[in-house]
Amino acid sequence: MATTTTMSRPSTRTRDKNDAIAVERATRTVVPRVDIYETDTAYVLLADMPGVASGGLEVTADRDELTIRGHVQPTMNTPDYQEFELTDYHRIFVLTEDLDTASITATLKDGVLRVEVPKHPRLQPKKISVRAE
Amino acid sequence: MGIVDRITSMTPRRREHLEPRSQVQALRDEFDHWLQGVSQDWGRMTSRAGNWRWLPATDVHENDHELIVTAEVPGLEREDLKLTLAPEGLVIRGERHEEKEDRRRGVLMSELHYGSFVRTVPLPSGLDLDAAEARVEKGVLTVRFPKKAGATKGRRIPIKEAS
Repeated sequence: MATTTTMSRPSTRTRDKNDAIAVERATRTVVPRVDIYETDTAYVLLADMPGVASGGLEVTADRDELTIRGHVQPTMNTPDYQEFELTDYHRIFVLTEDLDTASITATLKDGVLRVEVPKHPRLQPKKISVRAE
Repeated sequence: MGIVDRITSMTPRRREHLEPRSQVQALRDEFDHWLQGVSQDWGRMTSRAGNWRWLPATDVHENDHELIVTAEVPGLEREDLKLTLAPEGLVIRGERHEEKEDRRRGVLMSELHYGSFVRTVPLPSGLDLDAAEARVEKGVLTVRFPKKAGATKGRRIPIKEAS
């Protein structure tokens, strides 16, 4: 009888595990490609996120971490020929201390996210006007 | 200094709670996913006379009444794309322009593809090509081809008996 008990228990647990796998599959995300460049006053990040509407976009800056997330509304069934999949996007970046994280701006156009992170004002180059005497 | 990528794709997942069979499946899924990414990157680049060009990823969906071609074209607007029907299929031409930024001082990461591309998607017969409709939205190009009513479903070719 003891054998039966040990046999039945793992089977219930197996079902939970399979559910966990299903959830993991459903929440699979892709890492969007990015360009990051520096200007005199800011760092600009461009991320390809085709299929994302502005309502499905989430850009958060938490201390030194910048997280970008894009949710895609699935529209079609499994394709007959597939090279890409419109799935959610997720990528995390580390922001260094020289940035003004309170003034980050983000815009989305044609499936491209543009995040501009200004440099800390005290680190931005200043033009010093010369007074004529 | 600036914005640094935190590697998210390589973060190992906890999988010791899974039974061996599931562990193997999970590992296989991860590897498949990774391999798919790598092969897609290669597949999307073509070289002509040493010049590397990019190709947008394309999907083809089919149902009872239409065939739908979708392509990832982030950053491209209607004016940047040109679609033509050739005997060999649907020809998608496009050009992605790099954002003009005179203030640009240094590049920290460069993963996006810019420049022009030409991609041909072969089409099956039985489509009403004159009724094709295309739109580009949120960086995704969608071209719909309705199927012709009463299109032939293919024909069986008899195999002759050996004499």
